[in-house]
Amino acid sequence: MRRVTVLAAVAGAVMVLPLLGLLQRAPWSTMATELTSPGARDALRLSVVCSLGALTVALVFGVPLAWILARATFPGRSVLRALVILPMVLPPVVGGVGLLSVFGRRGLLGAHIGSWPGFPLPFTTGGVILAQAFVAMPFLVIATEAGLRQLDRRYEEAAATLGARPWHRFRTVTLPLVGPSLAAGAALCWARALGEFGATVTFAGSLPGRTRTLPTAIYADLQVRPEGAIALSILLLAVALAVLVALRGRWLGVS
Amino acid sequence: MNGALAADVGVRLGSLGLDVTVDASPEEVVAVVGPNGAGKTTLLRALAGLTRLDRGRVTLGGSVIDDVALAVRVPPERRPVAVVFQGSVLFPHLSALDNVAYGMRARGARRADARRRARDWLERVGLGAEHLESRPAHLSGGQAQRVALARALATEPELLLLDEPLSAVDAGAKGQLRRMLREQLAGSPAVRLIVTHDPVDAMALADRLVVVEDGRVTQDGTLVEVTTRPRSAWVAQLAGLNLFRGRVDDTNLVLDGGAALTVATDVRGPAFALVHPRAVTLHRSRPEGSARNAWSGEASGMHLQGDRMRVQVDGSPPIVAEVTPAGATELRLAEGGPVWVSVKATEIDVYPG
Repeated sequence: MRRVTVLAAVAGAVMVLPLLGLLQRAPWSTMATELTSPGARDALRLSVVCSLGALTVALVFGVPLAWILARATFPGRSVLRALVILPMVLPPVVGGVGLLSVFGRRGLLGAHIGSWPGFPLPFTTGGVILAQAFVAMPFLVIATEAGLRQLDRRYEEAAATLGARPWHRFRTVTLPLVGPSLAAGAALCWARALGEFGATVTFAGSLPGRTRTLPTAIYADLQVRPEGAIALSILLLAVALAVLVALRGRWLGVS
Repeated sequence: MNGALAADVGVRLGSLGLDVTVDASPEEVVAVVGPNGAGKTTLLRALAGLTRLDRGRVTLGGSVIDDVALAVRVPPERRPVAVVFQGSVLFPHLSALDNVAYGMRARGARRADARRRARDWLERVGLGAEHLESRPAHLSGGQAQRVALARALATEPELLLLDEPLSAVDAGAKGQLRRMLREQLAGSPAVRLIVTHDPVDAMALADRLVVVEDGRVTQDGTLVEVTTRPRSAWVAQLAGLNLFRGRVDDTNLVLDGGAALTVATDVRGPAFALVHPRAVTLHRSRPEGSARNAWSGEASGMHLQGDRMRVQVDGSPPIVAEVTPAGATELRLAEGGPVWVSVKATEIDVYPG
């Protein structure tokens, strides 16, 4: 029993110590100036725009995907679900390389659509959004699919017998009832997009004002202005904690 | 003016095959009764368009809403059919009022208009004004069923389907709810079909019974017809009667189980024999006298019903007898003890099977 306690304490320390270190080295007195410096403001603006953009992409395309996974029966559904979860376990840098090989100048699609408006995507703000959506969308899809599966189908059937057409049913019954699952998925998805680094830096680089989001800014700053990097890190830590508190009922087993 | 329902429904569902014909007119309330798992709910779902037919055709007021051969299948939202689901199935995120307004809103009514009419409907089904804005979680089973009924009636359906409308209601509230249901059903111009496994509900609410067992209609008739001429053991049991099935040759009814009863009838061939438990006499030893049918058995179950004792006798054939508690004491009846049974031939009601 004592051995178990010691091992558990080590595990706890591994997870908590870095956070304490961050707080200990935080430039509390100059925090406001650090966070409002032009570089930080650019990164902050880009991060907000891109993470919300990625969340929008995930909502528009991910909710229908969750619907298909939860409701349709077709061969290969379990394979599709596995592929959807894959980005959650795939090293993000590999995702970035994959995106380059599709949307890059000589990529699978990039070679053909590179001249369309909004393209090519690599090393653009749009590319950041795509990279973040690739990595973060599974969180939304999985949570929404689980919510749809748990939903009693009879509510939608009742709506149908009352004369509600499919889209009206979805809007007035399905969506409100899976709302909590969808909101939790959206929060996780957004938080993951906000923190995305590997796929972003690989696919979109780290161009100040265009593709340098908070995580890439932290990495770039660390060598030259560590106090700036730590200030931005504290900011991201605070956001992560806020998301966790918002989801505590669902994810920490507290009601 | 609403028209009649004519349904010929075939659905394969795992081990259950449903294969029934049900006709109903707007002038009557029809109860589909039968044991649990007989396919009653499947029939209701098929009529509502929620379960796909494998075979058959459904017309309502002359228009086809389902026809497998013609590949016609009107989706549930376009059928003039409303359902009161078992357990209400009210939308948990909407108030009682908005639940009732839902159908009218889905059909394009303006919000204020729909809510005003919903209020009228809820008043008609007797939901207190203080519950109008309550969420379903805060309603009792009886209140929820009132809302569910109002929600279905508010769409002014041509066919109203009710699935076990009184099952989620506690005994105290049941009588009142049954009365309300009876009034509302009487006032509705729709074809009304109730699915229930509770014979009391069926008899209180319906004019005609359709008995469904193992996915087949075993009997279809008025209450009196069904209870006085039961054609299945399930119906006989719920009417509290003994039913035997066999073949009459001359004066003997040879039962499917092998035993034979002496009967007095002109019926020949396959037949049912109905024996009221009060016509069954019990004895401590082999009876003497005029009774032509006598056999021995074991008193396997005894329970008091009103002022009578019902005694299940396991013999060949098994039978239920009704005696007075005093008679039971006199016979020194004990569960598991031996007993003799006799039934007069003239007390056996025989009709063609």
